[in-house]
Amino acid sequence: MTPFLKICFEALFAGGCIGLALILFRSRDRKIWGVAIAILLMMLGRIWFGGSSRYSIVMILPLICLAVMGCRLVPETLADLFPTVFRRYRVAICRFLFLALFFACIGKVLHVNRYADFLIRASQAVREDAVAYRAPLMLNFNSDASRLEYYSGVPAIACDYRGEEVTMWELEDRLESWSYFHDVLYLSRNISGREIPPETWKIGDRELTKVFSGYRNNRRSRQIVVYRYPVPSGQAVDRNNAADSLIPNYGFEEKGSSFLDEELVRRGLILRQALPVGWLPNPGQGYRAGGKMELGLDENAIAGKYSLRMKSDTPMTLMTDRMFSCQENYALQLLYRGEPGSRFHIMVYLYQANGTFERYRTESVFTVQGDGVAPFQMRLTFPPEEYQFQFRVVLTLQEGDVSFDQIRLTPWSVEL
Amino acid sequence: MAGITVLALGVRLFLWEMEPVISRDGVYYLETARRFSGVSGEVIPEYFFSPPLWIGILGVFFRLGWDTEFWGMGVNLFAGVLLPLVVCCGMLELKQSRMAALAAAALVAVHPSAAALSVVLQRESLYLLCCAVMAVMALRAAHSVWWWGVAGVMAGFAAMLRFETMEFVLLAGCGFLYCVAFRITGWRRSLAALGLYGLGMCLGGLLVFIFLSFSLPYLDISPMKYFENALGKVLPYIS
Repeated sequence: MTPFLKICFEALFAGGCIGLALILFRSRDRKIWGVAIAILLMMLGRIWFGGSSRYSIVMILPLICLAVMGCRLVPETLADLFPTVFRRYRVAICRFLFLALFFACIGKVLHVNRYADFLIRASQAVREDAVAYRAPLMLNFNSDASRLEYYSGVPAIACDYRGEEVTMWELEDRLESWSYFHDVLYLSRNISGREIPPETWKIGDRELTKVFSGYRNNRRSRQIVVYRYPVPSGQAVDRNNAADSLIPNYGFEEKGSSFLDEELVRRGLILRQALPVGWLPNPGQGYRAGGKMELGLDENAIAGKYSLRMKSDTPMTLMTDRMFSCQENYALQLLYRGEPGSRFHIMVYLYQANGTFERYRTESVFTVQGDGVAPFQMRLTFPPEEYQFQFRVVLTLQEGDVSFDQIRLTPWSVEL
Repeated sequence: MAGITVLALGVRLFLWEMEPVISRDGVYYLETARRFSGVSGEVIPEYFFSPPLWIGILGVFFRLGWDTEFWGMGVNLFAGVLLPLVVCCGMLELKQSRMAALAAAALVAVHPSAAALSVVLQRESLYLLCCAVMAVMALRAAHSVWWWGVAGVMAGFAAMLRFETMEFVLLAGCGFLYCVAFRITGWRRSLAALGLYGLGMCLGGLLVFIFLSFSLPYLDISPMKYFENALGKVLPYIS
């Protein structure tokens, strides 16, 4: 009932209910009964279902009308019941009730949050601080990510959180996960109003510096704090570090022309947009009909403008268009981000010199553990009997939701 | 009434000055309108899951190159200031005294939620106005059944702002049965009213989709798809 009361305002809800009861009590008109019952049903429905308070917004108007009618009907009813006492004061009581409601509303309107601009101030502090950095990112352990990003212009990630209980382990894990490709991380979270946020804060062996703190509400029961963690040089990976990759379009930045494979569409693959240049889906492996599949470039990129996103409840594959010689050994590195529990395989397809498919091999099986960005690396080695073949790199999502970026295939001699 | 309108404007401007922060949904609406109006960004269907009229209105401002946040709030402010006048008309249609109508208008002018929603980038202020006009038109239909058509058009607009407007279709059906069962109006007149209301609602929806084809040219959503979405939200509650 709280969301309903919150949006309708308690005083007007009480007034409206009294008005409704008196109308039903005094009226014999079936039309009025019909309207009153409809309003009652709408009210009860919203109180019963709950949900967002804004579902109840439409009830404001009938409740106000009913409350005004109630202001007139209360003294009339009292005058009917106790004529000697109330008959003389009918008008005065009516006016008193209306003015009570009116000033209750005015009082509520004037009770504004004098700290309401805390997000603007926090964003301004972050924006000014982030000027000195090349690739900032904000990690938010509160529900303000979208607005902080809107005001500060610094990309913001909404981290999972349970109220204000975030463990140090979780904070450390997120800082580690998001350190790749960002030279500074801002950590925003809510704390109790009684706490005094320290100027510096140690999370594991990382030292964070306070950028902003401010109260969120009039009672000063909660405050928002923003800390800065400059990623040590060497940990942040340069965005172009995979430029030596043998795989064309290793960062999925080049979008191909519209791709539509009728067979895949028939099986239920949703192509969110055109696929990256140099990569091909293989309808021969996975893509079970009836599966819920999505494949395409994602603007919520790990690096650059796009990442490859694969989301499916059934296996799906994507392979390089280009083939590589099996006569060398290789290092394969990539960055991934996904829903915990998602499983992907790194495979190779082997082909004869004339391009005829020979066989495939699963090189690695992996399950996503956390929800941040993480590096993945492995070595591809081929026995002498396979030197005659060429191979393609294949990303296979078994199930879940995983984004890939910066796929770096380099000869073995390059140090990992 | 002029004084009440000024009061409504004053209360809303005061709140705008004191709490100038955009809402969480507001950021989403702006981003969706920016993408689907073709100004910038990828058009990804996931961005679009709410009723389209509000985003369509914001899309117009994007396409005109105006400050969308400011003008979006301006539309809400206008709707919020107009609301007391519409409620006043509604009370007069309900055969209430002039004083009672003005009292209701005054309460709408200073209602904390109605005022607060008029100065944030949300669809509720416009939705309230559409619902209020719809109710006034439905009350006027006591004089002429044709007003039910106008009420239906407003319900169509409201449905394009919030899904739960669909409940009025259910309520209209129940009202029809109630009127026939208790012989309040003849069944022919009730049926005509119900039909006009339904037709008006379809017309309202159609007008919105025509408007959207100009304001959100990158929007790829058919009216049927929209109603499937709406039913998908409503049916779980009914079942």
